[in-house]
Amino acid sequence: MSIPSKIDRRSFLRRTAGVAALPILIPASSRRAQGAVAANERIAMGAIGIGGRGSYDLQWFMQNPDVQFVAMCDARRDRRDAAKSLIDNAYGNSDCATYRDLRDMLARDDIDAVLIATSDRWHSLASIMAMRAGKDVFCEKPLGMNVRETQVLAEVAKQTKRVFQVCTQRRSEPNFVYIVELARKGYLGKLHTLTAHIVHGFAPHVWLPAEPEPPKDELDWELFLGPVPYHPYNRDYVDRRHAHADFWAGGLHEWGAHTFDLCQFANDTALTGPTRFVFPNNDTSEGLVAQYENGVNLTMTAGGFPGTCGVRFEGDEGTAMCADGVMPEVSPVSLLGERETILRNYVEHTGRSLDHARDFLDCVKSRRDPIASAEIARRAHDICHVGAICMSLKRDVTWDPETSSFPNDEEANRMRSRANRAPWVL
Amino acid sequence: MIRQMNRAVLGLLAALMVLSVPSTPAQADEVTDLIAILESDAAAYDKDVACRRLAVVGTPAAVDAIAALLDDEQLATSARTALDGIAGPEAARALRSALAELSGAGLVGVIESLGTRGDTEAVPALGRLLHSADPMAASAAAYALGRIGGREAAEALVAGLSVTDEAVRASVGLGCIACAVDLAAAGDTRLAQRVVDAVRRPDLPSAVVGAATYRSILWRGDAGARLLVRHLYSNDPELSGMALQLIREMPGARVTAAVGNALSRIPSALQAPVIEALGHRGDAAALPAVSEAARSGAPEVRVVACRALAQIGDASAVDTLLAAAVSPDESVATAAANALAALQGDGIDATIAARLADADPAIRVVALRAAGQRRMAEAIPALIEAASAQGEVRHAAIRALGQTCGPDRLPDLVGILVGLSSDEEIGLAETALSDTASRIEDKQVVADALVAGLEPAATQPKAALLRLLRTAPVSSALNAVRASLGETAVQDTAYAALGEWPTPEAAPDLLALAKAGGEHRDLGLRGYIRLIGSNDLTPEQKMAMCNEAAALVANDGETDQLLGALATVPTVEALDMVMSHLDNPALSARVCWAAVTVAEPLEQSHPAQVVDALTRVLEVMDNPNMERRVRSSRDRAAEAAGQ
Repeated sequence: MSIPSKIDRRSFLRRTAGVAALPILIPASSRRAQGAVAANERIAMGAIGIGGRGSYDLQWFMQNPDVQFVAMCDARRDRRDAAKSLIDNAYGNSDCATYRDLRDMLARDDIDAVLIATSDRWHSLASIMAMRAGKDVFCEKPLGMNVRETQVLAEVAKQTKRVFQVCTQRRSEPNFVYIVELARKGYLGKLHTLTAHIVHGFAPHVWLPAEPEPPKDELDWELFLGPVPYHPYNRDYVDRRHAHADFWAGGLHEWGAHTFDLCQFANDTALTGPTRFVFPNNDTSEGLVAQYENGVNLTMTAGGFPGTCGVRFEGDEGTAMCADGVMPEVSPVSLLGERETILRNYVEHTGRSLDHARDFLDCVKSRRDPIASAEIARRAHDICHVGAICMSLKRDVTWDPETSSFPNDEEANRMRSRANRAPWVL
Repeated sequence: MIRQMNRAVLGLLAALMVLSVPSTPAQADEVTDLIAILESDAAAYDKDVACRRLAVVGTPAAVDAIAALLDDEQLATSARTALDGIAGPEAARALRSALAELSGAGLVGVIESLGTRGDTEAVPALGRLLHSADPMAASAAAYALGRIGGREAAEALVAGLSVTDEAVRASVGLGCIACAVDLAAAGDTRLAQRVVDAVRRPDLPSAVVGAATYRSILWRGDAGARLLVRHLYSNDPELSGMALQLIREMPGARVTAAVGNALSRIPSALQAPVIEALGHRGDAAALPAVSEAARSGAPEVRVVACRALAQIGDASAVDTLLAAAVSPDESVATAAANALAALQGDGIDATIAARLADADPAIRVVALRAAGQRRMAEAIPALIEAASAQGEVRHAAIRALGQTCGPDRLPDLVGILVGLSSDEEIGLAETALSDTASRIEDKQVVADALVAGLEPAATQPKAALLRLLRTAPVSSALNAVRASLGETAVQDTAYAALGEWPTPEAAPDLLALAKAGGEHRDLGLRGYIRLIGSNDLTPEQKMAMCNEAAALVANDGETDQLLGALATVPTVEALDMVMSHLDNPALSARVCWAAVTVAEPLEQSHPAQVVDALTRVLEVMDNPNMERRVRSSRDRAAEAAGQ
C-alpha cells in the first residue's frame, strides 16, 4: 500500500485530530475567535428533532468553527422552519437542507455526524439508524425507554465502531469533574454514600380521543409516533409529551441520566452498576436506594440540593457536593485549594476537553470513544430503568449488571423491554 | 357483558400500569380474564391494555389469543410485546407461523420479535427473507439473524451478501459483524474472522467495511500489527480512522512496537493523531518514539507528543519536557510545562528537584514552577534558597512556595515577605501566603505566623500582613488589627481590614466607629450591616444588630443594604421593619423582595402576619416574576391560617 499523495477532507480531519483538537481549557468565545476553518476541514453535521433543548445544542455546537450544520430533520414543519432559520442565520446563507423523514437525511453520504435532540421515544432508534448509516452521533438524554433499547444501542455502537456521545454534559463541566476526581483520586477516603438528585413522577398510559390528523407536511404523525405503539392522533401527545407513558421515560430518567452517571463515574463503576434496588415504600421514588457490591449506597432524592442535577459523594475522610449554578461544597474545605491542580491533571492525563460538545468533536476526528460513550451511558441508564421497574413492582429487586437481567425474577425480567412499532424496529 | 365487566378493571390497570404491577406471580385467573378480553369485541384500547398486562403475566395459554392480533395495525405492537415476554416454544412457533402470513410492517415486527427471542429455529426462514423483494423485511431479517447468531445464521448472512439491493446489502454486512462479534465471544474466532473478512468487499459502504476490518485486524492478534500500520496510510478515511481506533484499543506489545517504529517514517500530517492515540494507549513502550517526537519536528507534533508524555511518561521524560518548556514556540512550551506538572510515577519529583538550582535560569524557572504545581514539599528548602535569587527565579520560587508550604513552613514564607521591598514582589508573596492560608484548616496557626511577622516588618510588608489577617479571623488576629489602628503608617490598611472583617467578633468595633461619626463612620456602618448576614448569629442577635443599624442609616443606599441584611432574619420583627419602608418608592422593588424573603419561612408559624404584609406588598409591586412568588407565599400562608 502506497502512501497517498492527496488526502481527502474526512481523511484530513481525522488525521489531523491532534492538531485541531489542541485548545482545551479555553472558552468557546476564544475558540470562535481563532477564525474561520476552511469548508473542507469542517465536520458536516445534520440535526434531528430540534425543539427548545435542540436549539440550545445547535448553538452550542455552532460555536465551534470546525462544525457546519448542512441539514436538519423534524416531523414538524414549524420546528424545521425554526431550526433552518437558526442555522442559516448563523452561517449567513440559506444552505441548510430540511427533511421530514430522517431516513432521507441519513442517506446523504456527505454528513459526518448528527445531533439528535428529539424527545425520549426516538433517542435510541434514531441513534441506531444513524450509526448504521455510518454517522457519528451526539444524542440527548435519556437514551432510551427501556433496558433493551439502550442495550441494543450500545451493541450497535460497538459493532459499527461509530463515535457516540450522550449529552450528559456534566461529565465534562469543571465543577462536576472536580468533585468526581476528588472521589476517584481518594481525597474523600473510602466512599460509602452517593446521593443523586432526581425528579419525581411517572406518566400514565392512555389513548386520548382521536382528532383529525394534520397534513403530513405540517406534522407527520407516523414519523412523530415512530417506535411508540399505536396511539390515535391527538395534539396533546405533541404538546405535552411528558404527560404520557410511551412518550416520556419518567422522572428517574429525567435527571438520573445525569446524576446516576456522575455517581457511577465517582464510584469507578461506570462499566458495571448496582446489584440491589431497595423499594422506598412510596410512589414517588424518594429515597430509592441502589446498592453496589463494593458496599456503596446510591440514594435518590428530589430535595436537598441548592441547584438542579445535584450529586453528593461521601467518604470516610470527606464529602463533596455539586449542583448546577453553585460552587462545589467540599469537606475538608482545604480541598477547594486543589481544584485547579485536579482539573489540570485531569485534562493532561485524559486528554479530554472540559466542554462536552468539544469532546465529541475531538473524538469524531481522533476516532476515540467520547467521555460519555454508549456503553458508559447504557450502564447509567440501566439504573434509571431498573429503578423504574423497582418502583413499578413496589418491591426490592436484585440486578445483575453483567447479564443485564434480574436473577430468578421473571416478572421483573419481562419488564425490561417493549416492542417497537414496525417498521421502526431496532 | 365481558366488555363492561372488564372495562373498570382495565381502566384501573391502565392508570396504575406504571406504578402498580402486582408483586405476586401471575395468576391463572387473571390471564384467563385477559384472554377473554382479547377474544371479545372489547375496544381496541382495552385490548391494548390487556396485552401490556399479559407482557408481564402472560402464559403459553394466552399465545393464540395474542397472536391473532399480529396483523392488527393498532394492536400488533402491544401483541408482540406480550409474546416477547412469554417464554417457551408456543410463542416462538406462533411468530414463525406469522412470517408466512404477514407482509409490510406486520412482517417486519414479527421478524424483529424472532430476533429478540434469539429463535434459532427461525434462521432458515429469516435467511430466505434476506432475499425478499421487500427491502424493509430483508434488512430486518439481517439484523435479526445477527442478533440470533451462531454458525447457521452466519452462513445465511454471508450468503446474503450477494443481494442486489445496496441498502439491504449494507444491512446484511452489519448483521454479519453482529453475528461475528457473538461468535468470537463464544470462542469461535476462526469463523468470526471468516465472516468479517467476507464483509470486506468493495460493494459495501466503507463505514461497514471499516467496522469489519477493525474486527479482522483485532482478531489476528500480534499478526495484525503490520496490517494496522498499513491501514494508517489508507486513502479511505474509514480505514485510516479504524487504524487509529485500533492503536488505542488493540492489546499487545507488537502493536506498540510496530506503530512506534513507523512513527518517524509516516507523513507529518499523520504523526500528531498517531502520537495522540499512542498516548491514550498508555503503553510505556512507546516512550522512546514519543520522546523523540517531543524533541524534534514540527511544533504541532511536539505539542501532541508533550501531551502524550503526560500520559505515558516516566522520570526519563523530565529532561525532554524541561527542554521543551523553554522552547521559543509558546504552544510547545505551554504543553511541556503542563505535562511536567502532570507526570506521574516514581522518581519524577527527584529528577525535577535536581534541576531546581540549574545553571540555566530559564530551565531553573521551569523546574521551580513544576515543583510548585506538583506541590513538592521536599523541594521547599531549594525553593526558599531560590527566593533569595533575583528576577524571574525569585518570582517563580515565591509562587511555588505558595503552592507547597504547609503550616510548618508558613513562618518561612512570612519571613520572605517581611524581607521584601518591591511592591510587585510583596504582592507575589501576599498571594502566596493567601494561597497557603486557604489550605490550612487551623486558622490559629496561620494567625500566629502572620502576627509574629508584624513586629519586624516595614510598612509595606506590614500592610500586606494586616490584609492577610482576614484569612485567619481568630481573636488574636483581630487584636493585632485593633493594635495597628493607631499606627499612622498602616492606619488606613488596618481600618480597611477591620471594615472587612469576616466574623461578628468585630461588630462592637464597627458599631463604635459608626456611632462615633467622622471619617470612619461609613466604613463602620457598612461593615456592621454586612456582618448581620453572618451564619454564626442567632435571629435574635441579628435583629438586635438591625435595630442598632436602623438608628444609624441616613440615606437610601444604607437602607438598601439594611434591607439585604433583614432578608436574612426570619422573624416577624424583621418583617415589620422591612414593611416600614414600603412607602419609599425609590426602594420599592428591594422592599418587596426583602418582605417575601423574610415572609416565606414564616408562612406556617405566623400566617396572619404574612398574609397581611404580602397583601400590602401586592398592592404596590409591578414585577410580574416577583409577584408570582409573593402571591404563592401569601396563598400558602392564607391556607395555613385557614382562610
